[in-house]
Amino acid sequence: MSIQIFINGLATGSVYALIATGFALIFNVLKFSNFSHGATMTAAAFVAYFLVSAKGLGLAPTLIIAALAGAAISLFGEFVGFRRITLNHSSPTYFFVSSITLGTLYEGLVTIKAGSNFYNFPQFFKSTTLSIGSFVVSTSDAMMFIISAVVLVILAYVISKTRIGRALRAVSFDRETAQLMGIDSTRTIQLAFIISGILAGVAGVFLGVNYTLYPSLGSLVVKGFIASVIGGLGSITGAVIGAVLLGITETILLATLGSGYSTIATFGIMLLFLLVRPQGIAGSNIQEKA
Amino acid sequence: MGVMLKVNDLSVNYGHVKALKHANIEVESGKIVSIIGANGAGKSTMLRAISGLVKPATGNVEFMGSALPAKPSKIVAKGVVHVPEGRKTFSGLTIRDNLLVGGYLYKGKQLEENLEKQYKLFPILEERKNQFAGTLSGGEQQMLAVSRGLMSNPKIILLDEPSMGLAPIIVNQIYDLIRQIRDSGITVLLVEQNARKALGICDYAYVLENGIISLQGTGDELLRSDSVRKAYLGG
Repeated sequence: MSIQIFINGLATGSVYALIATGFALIFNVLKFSNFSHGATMTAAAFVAYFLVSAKGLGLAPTLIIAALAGAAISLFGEFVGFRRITLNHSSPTYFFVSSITLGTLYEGLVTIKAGSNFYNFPQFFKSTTLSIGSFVVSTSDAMMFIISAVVLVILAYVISKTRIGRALRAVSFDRETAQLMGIDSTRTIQLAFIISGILAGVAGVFLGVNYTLYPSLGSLVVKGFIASVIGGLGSITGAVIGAVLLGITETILLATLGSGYSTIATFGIMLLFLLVRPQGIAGSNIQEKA
Repeated sequence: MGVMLKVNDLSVNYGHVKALKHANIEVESGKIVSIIGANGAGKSTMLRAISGLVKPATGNVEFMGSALPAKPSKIVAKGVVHVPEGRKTFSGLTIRDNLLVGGYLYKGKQLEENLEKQYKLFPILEERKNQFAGTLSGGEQQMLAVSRGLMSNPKIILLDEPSMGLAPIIVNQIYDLIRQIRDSGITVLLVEQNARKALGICDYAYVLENGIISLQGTGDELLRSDSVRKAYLGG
């Protein structure tokens, strides 16, 4: 295995990690799988494409607009699709239906605006490859890896060390008790959706850069799912580990088996995890003593 | 000292079940007031209505002369803190994080001061501050739950069954703690199935039966009352 493949896998994995963590945040706080996450990624990436990139502005403004758009779409979804059913303590089925409906709506809107065409983000870098010592790395891979890593480190810091991060964890654990500490649970849930939307927007742009931009690009959210399952549903750390492992495995399989089998193999890995270790890598909840 | 908390004509329904029916209680400032009653009598519902977790069908709660806001988070900010039944510590958060979440309304230096104060009151929590709360024993978790409640500097603390499931020696520690809390100037509203303990400690008590306040008086009066002895103290 060459180092190139490894670095390539790391870059892919870091984008999957953005998807998986955005997904895990909502799973943690509301205990459902947000199927609208993929379409949120696509819609945010398209907004950034039309508003910014198509006008020749660079990568940074594209990412910022995509992040803002993702946050706005996600916040809209929270209010329209999930607020009432959260306050009513409705069954998970409602969340399932609501998130699928929102996802279909976003994808439909994007298709109306963009048609079923493929769009290419403009070339963001002058040179497509970077030489690091004796290795040659694609510039976009290096940039995806670095930006994703920075975003994830900031996220980890916010969640583990800050006041709002503690509130988020408390609400994720026990919404009712968190309210008894003076935490406004609705605001905190909104915050989770904002962060998840930002992650979706950034991931959407990266996927668009990697694979071109098209209305059903969001179906790649499935990689985030697989990563979450491998890592342990709901665990943020697990999602990152799962995503990086998935990215690297996938790239290696792609180089050895070709694209057809490598896709099947990644699903096979997920099924294997569901069979052998359904709680995933990190999914070992602490048992209460009393 | 005057009445700090006043529950007026409070009713709560869960669907068709009437959990609380037009209940009135008063809690005097600086006192320990107990509510005793059997399982399902509506004791927890009373506390949940005061802290805003359930919406009353009739009546309201007055705190220091004005009606409490509707949102639980706003009620905490007023100084009314509810330590829920079953402790409900955040088991996957460290003990330190549990306490910091308890002091959510405070920031910076004030938060640090509150934390130091709790560590002084509960040295065991400082010793284990980096452990997950889920690794504590039942008694320690109850201490943590109370301490977490104290982190927001309450004027009144509502304790729901703090002795539940604990060994007698630990129950005594918890009751010493409740006295200490009262002596530090915080009013206590205590809900208990353990009637003997609750009546022994309180300044005033109410008996709740099927959602109705059936009896009230000082702890001593109720301890001597025949009906209380028959129903709650085992004859």
